[in-house]
Amino acid sequence: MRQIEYEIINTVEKLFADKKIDIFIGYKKGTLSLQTSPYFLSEQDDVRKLVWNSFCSNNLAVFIPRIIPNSKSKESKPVGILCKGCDSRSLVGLIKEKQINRDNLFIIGISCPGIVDRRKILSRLDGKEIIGIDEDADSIVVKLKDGEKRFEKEEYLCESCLNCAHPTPSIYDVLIRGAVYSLQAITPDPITKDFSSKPREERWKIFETEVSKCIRCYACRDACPNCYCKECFAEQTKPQWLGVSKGLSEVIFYHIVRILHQAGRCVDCGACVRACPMDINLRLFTRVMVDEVKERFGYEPGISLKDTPPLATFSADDKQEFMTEPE
Amino acid sequence: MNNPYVPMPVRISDIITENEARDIKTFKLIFENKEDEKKFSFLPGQFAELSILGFGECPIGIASSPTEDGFLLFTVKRAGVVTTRLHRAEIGETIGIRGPLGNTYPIQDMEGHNVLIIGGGFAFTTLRSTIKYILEKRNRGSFKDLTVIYGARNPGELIYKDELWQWEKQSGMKTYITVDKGDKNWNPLTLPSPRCPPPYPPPTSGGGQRRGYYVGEGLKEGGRYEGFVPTILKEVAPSPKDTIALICGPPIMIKFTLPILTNLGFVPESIFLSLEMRMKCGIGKCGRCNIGHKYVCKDGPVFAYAELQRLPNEY
Amino acid sequence: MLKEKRNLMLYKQDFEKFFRLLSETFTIFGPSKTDGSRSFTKIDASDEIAFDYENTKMSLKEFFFPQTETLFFFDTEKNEVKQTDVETNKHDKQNILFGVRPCDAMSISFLDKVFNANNPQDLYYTRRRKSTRIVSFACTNPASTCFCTSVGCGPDSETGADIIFFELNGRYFIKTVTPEGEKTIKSAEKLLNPATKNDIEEKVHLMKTANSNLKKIFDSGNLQKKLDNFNAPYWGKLHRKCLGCGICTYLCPTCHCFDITDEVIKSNGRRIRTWDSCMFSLFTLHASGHNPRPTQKERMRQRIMHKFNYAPKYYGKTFCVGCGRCVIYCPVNMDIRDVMKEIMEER
Repeated sequence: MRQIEYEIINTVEKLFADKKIDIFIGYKKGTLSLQTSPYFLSEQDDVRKLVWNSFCSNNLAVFIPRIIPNSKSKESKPVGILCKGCDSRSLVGLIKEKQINRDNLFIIGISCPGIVDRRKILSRLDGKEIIGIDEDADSIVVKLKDGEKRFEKEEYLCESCLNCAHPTPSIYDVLIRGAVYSLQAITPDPITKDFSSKPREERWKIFETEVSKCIRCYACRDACPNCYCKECFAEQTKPQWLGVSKGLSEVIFYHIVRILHQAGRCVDCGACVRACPMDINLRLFTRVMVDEVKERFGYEPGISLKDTPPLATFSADDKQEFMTEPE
Repeated sequence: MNNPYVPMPVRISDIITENEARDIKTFKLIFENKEDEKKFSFLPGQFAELSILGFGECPIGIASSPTEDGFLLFTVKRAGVVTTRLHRAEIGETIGIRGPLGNTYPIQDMEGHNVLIIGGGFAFTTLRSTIKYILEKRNRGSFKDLTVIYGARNPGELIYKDELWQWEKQSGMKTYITVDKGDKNWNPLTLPSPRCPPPYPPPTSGGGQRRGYYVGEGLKEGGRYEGFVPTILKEVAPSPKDTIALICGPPIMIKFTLPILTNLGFVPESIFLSLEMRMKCGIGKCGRCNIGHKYVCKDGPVFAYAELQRLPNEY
Repeated sequence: MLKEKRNLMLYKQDFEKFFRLLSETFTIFGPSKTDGSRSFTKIDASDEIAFDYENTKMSLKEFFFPQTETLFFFDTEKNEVKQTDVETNKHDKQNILFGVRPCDAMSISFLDKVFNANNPQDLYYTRRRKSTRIVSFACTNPASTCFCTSVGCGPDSETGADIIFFELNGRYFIKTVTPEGEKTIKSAEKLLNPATKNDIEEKVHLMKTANSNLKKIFDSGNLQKKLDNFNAPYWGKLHRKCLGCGICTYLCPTCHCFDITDEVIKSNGRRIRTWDSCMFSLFTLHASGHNPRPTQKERMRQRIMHKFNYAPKYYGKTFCVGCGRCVIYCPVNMDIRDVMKEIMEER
């Protein structure tokens, strides 16, 4: 881990020295244990504050459309960004949807060993205060006032990482290779397969129970690189699609539309579920969309800059058995 | 107990389309309940929330004067959901009203002084209320000279036209009306255009001496112009002495008007502006219309320029 | 205010009885084990209370100022307002919020300034406030994210509470703060004994330890002055990682901005007020399209300024109680303590 961190720092330092970039987005140490924070740095900032560890959980691609507002303009210098596999897939999506220009990016790709789910670890600590963290290749050691606890990474990875098929970035300018999590990715995802096999009523019940926790803070939307709309349907007033209350029907409406807007676009990075303060299992539903799209159209978003997203094209042999008369 | 969120019913007794673009209408409202009318005691500068059940509320300045008994006037530009619905309303329909809200123009401080009123576009509403209030017989003696400068994009966009033409002729006030761009009917009234240098030396001070500018039968003071409000203001150069200026208009007009007033010698304490902000509750609770630590809905909408200078430039 | 605050003792084995006596006259709400202390919920038996919780995820504000509240119902066909239950609803039973953290209790005293003050009074809030007693629980084991002592609050702050509990060895030290607090425990008086000198000493010692665990990170008084510089350069940088979501404002116990909208199904409608957030781009968007706070820079500045500069000027209080919710739940680890430090360090 330390080795990779040095490599990142050296690469970024060189990019600044060579005047290739003016701004770089990476991660720095967080103020809370088991967490990092996005770090925007320019040449005068401390490049040695950049970190790389199992808690670099934010999808940094989310910031790109905000700081490069125009897809057509060619910025004088590209924006440097550190990308895990999923971050780079998000960037591919943004480029294909003409939100950003590839030339405006300098991507330091990093093969990702998977992100550890801090909530999984926290749930095992009974609210005890963490004094320090140590990390090696396979495990996280949490130091407490009364001793320490070891957590095998494999068991505590985020769910989206547990079944990640592309831990190495699909696009990059420089690639830093490291160990990747070696489990074979499976489609459909075991968790969603289990969900999909349940009867409709039960699936609806699960969906309803989950989204009823929603407080409509829109963190799931705002943490998602795909949600770059300047005006979101959820807040539009002319016309108004849904009310602003916390009522179940409004919340259901919001989440169904959000999930459907992700069809063929979601890269299963898990940013939404990590951002949610109410612990809604959002990834379960978007992953169903991911598997559905893969099964029907053989398409995985974010892998290639060339192929056309299935919802942006039509083929005569598209499966369409779902287009049935209402029962 | 009074619930400040529940609107009082008012009936629309008249609707006047004010402009050629037909997106500004004045609504004449009459209270359904006499008690509500009694409670609704206001002064020029205040506003109210107009409510249409199922659509919501919008804050609108009160265009009528408290001296006009028995009704309220609201001039509304069609923009959002509620105003669009309001524009579809018909005479006889009942809507809701909450208010009066906010502070007033500094009527007491204005007494015994000259009053200069500068308005632009459809933001002339609470200024109309003020003019009406001052012109009212029993009030007129409390104020000195009244000067009104009002501008719109073109003659068709001027609101309260009938009253404007009346004010032009009225003694005891000077009325300058200007449009960014005149039309066939407007141009002949403006000789020479202030854009051309006048054929005689400009007078040194006082609007009243600029009589060479007006054309048209029966005009006593003031005149009609072509040009932006700030330009005309500079041209007609009212004296800052003993004068309080009230401004309400689009941000761009305000931006260029303030330096001219300052150059003319107006101190920031004698300039008052009425501001707009997105509002919901209108009673200083919902937290959205603040400029610095002041709520426009409660501590405003009228602010002395001196006070605004101390607040963040975020409006 | 109470002329003389009383210090009383209750043995832990008597708590169950104490709870039952109080629940005869009051409906009791507290942090419950069943929902993982997500929010204050109705407690039917004393053992449902999660005593060891740090703080509820949702702050206490939602009890008095719920996320969605009906202002009134109406009928669009008849074009008629139907009064809401503010006027009609009878509250036979009073409520107790039991086990409130001192920071949350203090936050309610701030919300009182917004909603309860007579300028005009907000009946919806006031109604709930009048019928509710707040029983605080002093923090003997503050979390690492707590910074109450930096903002004029503390682990044993009494502001906003009617009664405050301290958990001593085997017994509770109970201090009555307001006359309402005195009335609240009247029915259980026989279970309570006056505190002895030893009890008081134990309590003082306990809170000393708690206080020493809380580092004072910044001085909110100085901060207000510092923030008078509206165009300070740090505003151009601080906001960059902010996603613009509403977590910090929705979980904050003092944030109270709201929206008013209408909801209609067929001819039945209601006017509701719902939480809103200054972090959202549409918050200040005018119908004309003009937005005085067009980017996240202005919006983040508004949030910080509102709490630490505008509120002190308007209400005489810094609208932050240091509960740490925004620190814990921010998805990009925007730590308000760090933001404050950065502002304080700027010359």
